[in-house]
Amino acid sequence: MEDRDLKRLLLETCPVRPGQEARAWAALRDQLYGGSAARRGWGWLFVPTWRGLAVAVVMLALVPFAGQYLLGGLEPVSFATADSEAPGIYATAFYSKSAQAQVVWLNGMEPATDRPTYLEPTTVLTRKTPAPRPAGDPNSL
Amino acid sequence: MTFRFLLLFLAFLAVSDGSGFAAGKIWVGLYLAENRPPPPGVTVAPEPLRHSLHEVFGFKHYELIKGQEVSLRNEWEQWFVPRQDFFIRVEPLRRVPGEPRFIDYDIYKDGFIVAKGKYQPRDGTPLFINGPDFNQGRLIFVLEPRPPKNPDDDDDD
Repeated sequence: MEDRDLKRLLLETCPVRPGQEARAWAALRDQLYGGSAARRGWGWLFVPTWRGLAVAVVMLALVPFAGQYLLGGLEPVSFATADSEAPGIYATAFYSKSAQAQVVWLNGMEPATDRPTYLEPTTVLTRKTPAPRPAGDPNSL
Repeated sequence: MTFRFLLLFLAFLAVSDGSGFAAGKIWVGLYLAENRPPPPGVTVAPEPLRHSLHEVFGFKHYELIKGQEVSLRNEWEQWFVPRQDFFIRVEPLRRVPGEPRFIDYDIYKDGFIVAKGKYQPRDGTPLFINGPDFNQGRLIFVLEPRPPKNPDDDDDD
């Protein structure tokens, strides 16, 4: 049997799981160098271990957390939009940090008044109150 | 074991969208901002809101003209007409799973739309809409998220 066939047979019968070679090398290195080389500095981070996986998960969790709560103040905050729909009227939306509120500023509107609007009926039927009859004789004119 | 719980907690923070809004309603109100004191007996803005309004508009007093709650469960247009010449149409838009909720609004002045836009309600972040001047003051719309009274009112399920 050729070496190539033997290797293929081994791969089929005993497949190498992901990271198995690296873990085997790390274990061998621990045995060879007493574990000092693998654990020195940040070297353990590059060895596929459960500890490395845990650190990776923590980092993945911390990046959006930091982006949202620490760097969020540097980005413009906008929870509202506003578009003008009338000529001469301008709409601007912004976030007021001091008031902690979203503001939509409309410019160019005519002042509001108490005059009747188009919603008021133009022909109002007022209920006529009967004229008071003169006291005394009810039939007198 | 503690380390595992810490990991789970951080992972939960990472996948949450962070919108911070679980309200089932928004409150819509129209205030009249003035510098002269309002007449006795009227409803004025509560102090935190008055402070925020003062930071933006600068008036001293804010008198509530009318207010009403709008349920976000009702995903159709709802009208708030505190005055016949200045009112607003709000429509909670259908929520897309995984995305924040938006509210569509139109501002009407003298019967015509003068502005339209979208608002994303967030707890602690009201929306102030600067309206027209009125007498010596100004009309201001306030849209404020209201938390649900019980978990069943929450529509974030």
